[in-house]
Amino acid sequence: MTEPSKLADGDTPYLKIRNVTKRFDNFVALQDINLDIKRGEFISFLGPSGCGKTTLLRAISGLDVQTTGSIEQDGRDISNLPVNQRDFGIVFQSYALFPNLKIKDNVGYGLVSAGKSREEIRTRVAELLTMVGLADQAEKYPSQLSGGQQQRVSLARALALSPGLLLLDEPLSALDARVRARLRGEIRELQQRLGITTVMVTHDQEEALTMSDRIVVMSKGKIEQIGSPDDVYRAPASPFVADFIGRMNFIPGTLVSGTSADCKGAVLSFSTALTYAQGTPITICLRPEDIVVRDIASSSNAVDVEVGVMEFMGNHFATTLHVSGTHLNVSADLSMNDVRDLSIKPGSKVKAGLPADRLRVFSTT
Amino acid sequence: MIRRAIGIALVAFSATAAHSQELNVYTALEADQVKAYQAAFEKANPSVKIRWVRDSTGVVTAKLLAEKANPQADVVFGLAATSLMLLDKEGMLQAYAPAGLDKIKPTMRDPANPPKWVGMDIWASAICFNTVEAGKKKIAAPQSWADLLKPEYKGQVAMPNPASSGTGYLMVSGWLQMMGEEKGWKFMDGLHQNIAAYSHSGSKPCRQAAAGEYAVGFSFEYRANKTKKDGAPIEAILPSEGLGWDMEAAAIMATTKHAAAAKKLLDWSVTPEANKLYAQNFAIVALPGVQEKLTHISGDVEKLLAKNDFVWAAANRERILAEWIKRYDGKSEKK
Amino acid sequence: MSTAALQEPWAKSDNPAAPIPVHQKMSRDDLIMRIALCVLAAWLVIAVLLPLGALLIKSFEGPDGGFVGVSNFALFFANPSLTQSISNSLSIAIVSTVICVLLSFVFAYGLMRTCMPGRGIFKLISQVPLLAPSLLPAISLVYLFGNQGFAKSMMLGQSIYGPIGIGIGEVFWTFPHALIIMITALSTSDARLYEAASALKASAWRTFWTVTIPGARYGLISATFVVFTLVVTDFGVPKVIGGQFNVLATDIYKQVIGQQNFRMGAVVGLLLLLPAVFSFAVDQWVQRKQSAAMSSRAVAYEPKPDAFVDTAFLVICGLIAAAILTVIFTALFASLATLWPYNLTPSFKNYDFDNMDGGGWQSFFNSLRMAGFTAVFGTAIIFSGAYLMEKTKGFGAGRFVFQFLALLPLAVPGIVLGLGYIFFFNSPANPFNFIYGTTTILVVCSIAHFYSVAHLTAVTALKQIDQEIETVSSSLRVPFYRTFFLVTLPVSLPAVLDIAMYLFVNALTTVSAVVFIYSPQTTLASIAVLNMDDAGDVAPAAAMAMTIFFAATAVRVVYTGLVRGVLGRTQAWRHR
Repeated sequence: MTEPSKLADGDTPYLKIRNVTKRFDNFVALQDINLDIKRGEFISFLGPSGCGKTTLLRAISGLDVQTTGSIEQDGRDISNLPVNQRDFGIVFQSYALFPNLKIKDNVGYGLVSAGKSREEIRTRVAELLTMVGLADQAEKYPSQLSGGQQQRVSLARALALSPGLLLLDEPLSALDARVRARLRGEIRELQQRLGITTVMVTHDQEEALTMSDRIVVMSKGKIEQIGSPDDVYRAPASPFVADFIGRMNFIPGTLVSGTSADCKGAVLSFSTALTYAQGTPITICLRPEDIVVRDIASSSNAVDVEVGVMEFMGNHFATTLHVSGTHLNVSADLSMNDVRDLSIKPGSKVKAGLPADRLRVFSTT
Repeated sequence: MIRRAIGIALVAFSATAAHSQELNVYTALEADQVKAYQAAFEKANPSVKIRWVRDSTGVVTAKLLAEKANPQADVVFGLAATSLMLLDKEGMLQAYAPAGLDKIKPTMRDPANPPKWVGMDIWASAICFNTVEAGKKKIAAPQSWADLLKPEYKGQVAMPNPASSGTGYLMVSGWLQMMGEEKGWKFMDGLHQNIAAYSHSGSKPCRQAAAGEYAVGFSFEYRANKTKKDGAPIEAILPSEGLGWDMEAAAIMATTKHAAAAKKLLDWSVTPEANKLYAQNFAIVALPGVQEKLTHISGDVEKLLAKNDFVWAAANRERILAEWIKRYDGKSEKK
Repeated sequence: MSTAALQEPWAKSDNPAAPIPVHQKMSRDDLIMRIALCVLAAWLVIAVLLPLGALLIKSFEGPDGGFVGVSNFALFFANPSLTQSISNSLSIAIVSTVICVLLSFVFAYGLMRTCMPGRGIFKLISQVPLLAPSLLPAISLVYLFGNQGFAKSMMLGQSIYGPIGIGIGEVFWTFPHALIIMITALSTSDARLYEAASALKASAWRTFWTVTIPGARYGLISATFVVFTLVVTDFGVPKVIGGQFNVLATDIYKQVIGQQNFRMGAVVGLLLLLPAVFSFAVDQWVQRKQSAAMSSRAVAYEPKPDAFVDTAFLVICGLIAAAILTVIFTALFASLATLWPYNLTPSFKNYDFDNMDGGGWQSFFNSLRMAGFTAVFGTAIIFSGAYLMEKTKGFGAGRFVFQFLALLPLAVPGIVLGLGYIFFFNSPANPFNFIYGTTTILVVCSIAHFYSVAHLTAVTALKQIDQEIETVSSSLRVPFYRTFFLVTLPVSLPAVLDIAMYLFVNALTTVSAVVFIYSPQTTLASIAVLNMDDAGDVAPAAAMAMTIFFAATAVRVVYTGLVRGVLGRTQAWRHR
């Protein structure tokens, strides 16, 4: 079991969320949420729609305050402050640019009300536009820019007042795949350069995995797991997280000992010892890419398998493997090299390893 | 804050009203008459300005009665005497003897002294008969009310609705007095068979006859004279049995806050200048010696005027109208 | 290891015994917006709700002002000529509605589902009746089919005065209202349903009944109720051409104006409110159904040329358009004839309004002024109201009440609202009594009467703007009014102009909303048409109606130019 990452003692969190609950009539959207976010950290709220991630973001921003609980930002209790008394910049999926204002006026929008001089505004706007790589687009209208460009403008506008906190609400969802991939890197790079504490809401695990320092996986108004991208991928704290992030084999079985289980006739051993009694029903999780067909180590559960359906995925084959002599089927991602070198095709009989240290076991009760 | 704003507005409102000496004058005179009267009066009395509220006799009467609790009018100028008597009965009129009252015909004023109302002119019923349409349809010109019961006039007669039109009421009241109630209603029952439309105003039937919409339009002598003068192919006919008539008169409202200005208007009403203006429109006016014959009316209006008991006509107005509405209004779509 | 393993040390933080609910502090923006919304709601209460309340109270009042229960209603139902009006009103409305909805459906079908030539022109002509008061078609009918009408023979001996005239006049006047609904209904259908039908080899007839009609059914229902209400509550047409055929709307006028019987007027007014409220409820229901039925994945239907169908619709639509133009040109012709029907020499004699009933040319200028004020103040009030209702944060109850007040006028016939105004504003106890008899009350009444449609237009426009714009602004600590003037208003400019246009034309042509509250100093052109017709000056009435028509047309043309020209330049950001 992996220890979830937490703040070192004495390190005061920048954003401190305590016992936050949000109810809409009888529906509980957030249930007793506790979360600390470090200064300069990039945090993603990840989960399916309806999990409460957007509700939590809206509570932080003050757009929809929590029913109970408190939120502290930089030592200041902001729980009941209206939006315009909080300190954040926000970027929406829809960009929410002012369609009738030029790019420079969009970026400088907040600066005018902040009482800055004309000269200061011009300098700051130029600086911000250069920062997001749009210095030459200042005189254009939003509709004349591409989606990716518009989102950069939106980002520049959010950063104009140098807020302490940057909120990103599904910032990349409206963009096409290539632009999305590029902007991911750009936003992360910018965030690290500015050192601004950032909270992003997303339903896209890839986005969360590539950009975040830590990921908060949420489901049904509760936090399922908090951890680094590697943690949540490698060591999902619950079947939900295991299922939601990446692809996963869920193998039902019953314990035969502290370190092995009978799964539909195949006895699989795993490295972490369990204290449950024999016969306890369990679920074993195994990522398809962790199944090996070559160089099978002794620590792996080596089994004979028959290859079933093979789906060509470009850089690998998604295959179904039937463990001979059992009722167990598993999905495995086989590399192009494996398939070519071992001449694997549907119906082939090969040896496969289900590495014991890659098996995650959850009690089903 | 709001209350203060309203207060200021109210003050400004009443201030303007006080300065220009505006008189709210309710009238049933024709729109084409009031202009000349107003111009002449305001020329003689530059300090007073008239604000007209004009509608047909029935409407003005009903409006005055409805506003009894909070009257808006200062003067009633040019309303049927029968209506004024009704208002007098409600105690809504102020007695005043205008300067020169002694010169007008004694029959043309309230007998009380000082009078509650002063007559201006007499307006009598007349028939507008479209000679062109009559020629086409081979309809003879009617000479009497009785003629109009003949089947040849079926669907060719328009008449003002007595509930809204003073002209309509003076006809109905005239028939009932000339023929007696029973015969009068019987006559109207017969007439109803020939009537094509009852109109809101007393002028409309004549104008409809002028446009050939119907061959016969019951109206009054001013409108007949004027319409013919404007070139319509009509004949103004005064039926031989006699003419229903009423008196147009003026009175001051008991509640007026502008009594001085109101009296000026009443004073002006009995002057020869005013009567000369009336005489351009009506055959009989209050001041003797002023009246002249209307160009397009043949026949002597004064001689044909039926016996008319104003007191009776005023006292029975409500009952007669109710009976009339019951008999002829609404239920009477033409099949 | 199990799911229960999620036992984070920090999750066990000090749990308060009873969590204290968080109440967000109100920002200055929120406070200002709530107050502004309340002020506008108060305005609507004064302009709509209280006059209706006064009407309701009046209907239960006796001659001396005391409460008399339902005795006024008993009196009404005891009078056979008044109850006859109910059945007259209903029967004429049913017949007019059926004809109008059928014609508008056919016309809309021609516009939306065929390739007949001249669709643009046809659509333009179909909107012409909106530019004139409802009195105009009735007056034209007198000249067309009256006893001296040049098409009298077409009446086959029937009289135009009465149900036939009312029916034709109402169909003319309500046609564009029904058509707009039908066009919307027919524009939302899914082409794929037609492709599926033809792939299944359904006949055109069967496709029509199984695809077209069900697709347009909400439009048909909506149009039916809208037209029905308009006919039942219209008073212009029956006033002019109804003859002795009494309907409720003319009864109310007779009771109030003719006999000054306000209590009975209030009773009839309440009765007129019934069909309007009912059809309002049906319309709301239909709107919900229709928006649910519309799929965003629907593919727009593109009609294919079909010589037979296109020609057939060209003939039908051509006839309808010709009928509309005939009505307008008849009024124009009659207004220019020196003495109909005996002297047809053209002259402007009938335009010499100063020597006639109705207040003369001054009425026309009063109307322009009144319509102008209505457009300017109405647009400002209505758009601000819609904005505040959409954008005020929280305050659910306040916004709900405002929405109700804003939609209420849709269910109140103009003549009923006007009557309520007499009772409410003419009372000396009312602090607003001073606006009685002024242009102000006419403007207030017109804004209130036409509030709902303009409000819905504004709401639709506001909903099309990204909702997050306000969020971004407040996160940038920009006050809401700055964003309103810098962004929301400029972006909504087309809708704002639309609203102003709608208010102007309707205020110019309305009769029913203002007939009870104009004063000798504030006579209006549309009322002048009524009064001149009443006095028998039918040709001058036609002349005044045409004057209104030309003014409305001119404003429309200017508006179109404005939209094309000015918007084209100032709204460069709309184009890529």
